[in-house]
Amino acid sequence: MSFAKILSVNLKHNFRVHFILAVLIAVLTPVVFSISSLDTRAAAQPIEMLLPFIGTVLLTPIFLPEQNQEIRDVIRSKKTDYLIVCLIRIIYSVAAVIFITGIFVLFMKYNECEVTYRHFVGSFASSLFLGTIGFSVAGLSNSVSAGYMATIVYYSANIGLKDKLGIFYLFSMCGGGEFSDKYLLILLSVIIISIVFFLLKKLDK
Amino acid sequence: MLFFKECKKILFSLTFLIYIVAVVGFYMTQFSHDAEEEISQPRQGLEDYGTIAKEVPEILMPGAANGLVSEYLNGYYVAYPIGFYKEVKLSEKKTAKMAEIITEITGISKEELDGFSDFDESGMTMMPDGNGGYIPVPKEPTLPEINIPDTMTYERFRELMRKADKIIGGGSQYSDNNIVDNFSRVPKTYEDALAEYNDIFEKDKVTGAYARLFCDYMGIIVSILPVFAAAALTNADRKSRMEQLIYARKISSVKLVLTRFSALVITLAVPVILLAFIASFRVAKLYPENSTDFFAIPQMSVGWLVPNIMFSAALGMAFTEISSQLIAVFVQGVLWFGSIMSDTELTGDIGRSTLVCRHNSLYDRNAFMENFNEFLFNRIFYTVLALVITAFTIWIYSEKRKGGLNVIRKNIIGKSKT
Repeated sequence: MSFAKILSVNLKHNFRVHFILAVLIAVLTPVVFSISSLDTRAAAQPIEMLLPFIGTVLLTPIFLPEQNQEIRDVIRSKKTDYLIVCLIRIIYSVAAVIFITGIFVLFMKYNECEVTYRHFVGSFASSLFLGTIGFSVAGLSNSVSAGYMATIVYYSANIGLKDKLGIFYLFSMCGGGEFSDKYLLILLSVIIISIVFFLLKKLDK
Repeated sequence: MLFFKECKKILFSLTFLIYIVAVVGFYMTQFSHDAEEEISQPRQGLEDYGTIAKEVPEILMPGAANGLVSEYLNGYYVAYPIGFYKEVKLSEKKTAKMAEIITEITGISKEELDGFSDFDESGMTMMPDGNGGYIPVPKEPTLPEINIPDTMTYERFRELMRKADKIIGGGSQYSDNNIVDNFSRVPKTYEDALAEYNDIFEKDKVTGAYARLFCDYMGIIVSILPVFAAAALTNADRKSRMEQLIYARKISSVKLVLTRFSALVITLAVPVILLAFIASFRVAKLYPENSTDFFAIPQMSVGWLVPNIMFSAALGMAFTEISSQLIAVFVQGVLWFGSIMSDTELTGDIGRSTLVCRHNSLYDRNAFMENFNEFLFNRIFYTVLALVITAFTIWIYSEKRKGGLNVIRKNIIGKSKT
């Protein structure tokens, strides 16, 4: 099956609901947080505390369509490597995270918030890392519920432990932490996703 | 026996394992940390013991009037309509209404307010520290002279503040819930601090104070995680394609759903209650010379946390049954997030519908007790709501067995994928 065909079939059948939920999170964010005329630190609050859930809803369900063992057996009998299909899903899901985050930050800019590329990168890094947690747990445990649950536990740990989490603290921009940590979060996400793929390949899942 | 089978299913699931890790993790990193050292008695002669909110009209009225005039001149009003920070900008019509309120309170007309050009916001300013350096000190705002007329009664003033809050859209500093806390704070004396300290030992028997803190921390986790276990359990039949087989069994829908619900609530509550006993041991060991109420933490956990477990489990079962796990998690997630983010006051501020009740302090017993009736109502409300949702799940399940709701689910809600 060609790349384009895999992409179109997955976008049509496995992406729509999750994308709608991600957009819903972005739409709900201005309802719960003010996003008008905010200074740099105040502007970090909505994009670090609520928007990163788009990473959860877009990346955690990567393995959802084949969660059923029988379906996975059918998929494994196909010529196209199952993990290639998952990789394509990751690529378009990450692209969706970038797209929604970008639009949201531009919308904040339009509302006279003091936002810069750092807000965009910071929000994307938090979304990606939160999503990576869900993706990894869901992939290795073959349970998407466990993946969602792990992201909530990790998010709660951020509320409770705050900057004790070091570079893993998702809300560092709200607290005026080091911005370079965000680049580390992106790098760590890429490494973790690669390790999960490697393990799945080894385990022949 | 079905109940034990369901318990076994939950106990050996990955969601339960994550639940245990999260609950124990929260206990170790949050509660344990606060129970490391004894509470120290306040020392006499300190300059500052903090402040407490006390409704004193002579303090509240000028404070609130200053605040309102300051926000009017600023052009926006700070509010937490659903718990989150918002800067509310009023339309011309509403600004005129607000000016009318200010005129009645202060005698300053709209023209005078709009023409006032010396306005300077409050904030911080640098002042000489006497040693050649500078220190930041709070700065009073520069406002027009405010004279509240003698004819203004406290009742009328509060009525006008409610009107102002309504114009802003609710959740402002002038609302009934916030006005005393924001504008009527008095310095805490040594006697106040000592009385608060003594309350912990005399009225709370030590463990009562720790019970509130334990439930505060655990409440964050147990208000959301049971939905995952409930959704996974409810979805298990569908995932293993046993749905139709179970539909055909003799067992009644009432018995099946209630058994699953009680298995969920008991298996998820037991680890928390066990931790509550461990917490009691820890606190009793920390205060060997005081008589502590050993059962205060477990008892409080049952009353405070079990309603949360019941509600989250019931909602998870219901939404998974009518749609999918994803929707169940999303709905509970929205309610949970809304609640934890809207708790602006972390001690004693428990409303009738607050999902995640907070009291993040060993102190402030009075604030909690003032709201105790609200707290009781709240917990009973969530317990009853959980039972109503479970009754709804029974109805849905029995309709699905008859075949009626499957068609609706497929056509309207869409095929469940989880």
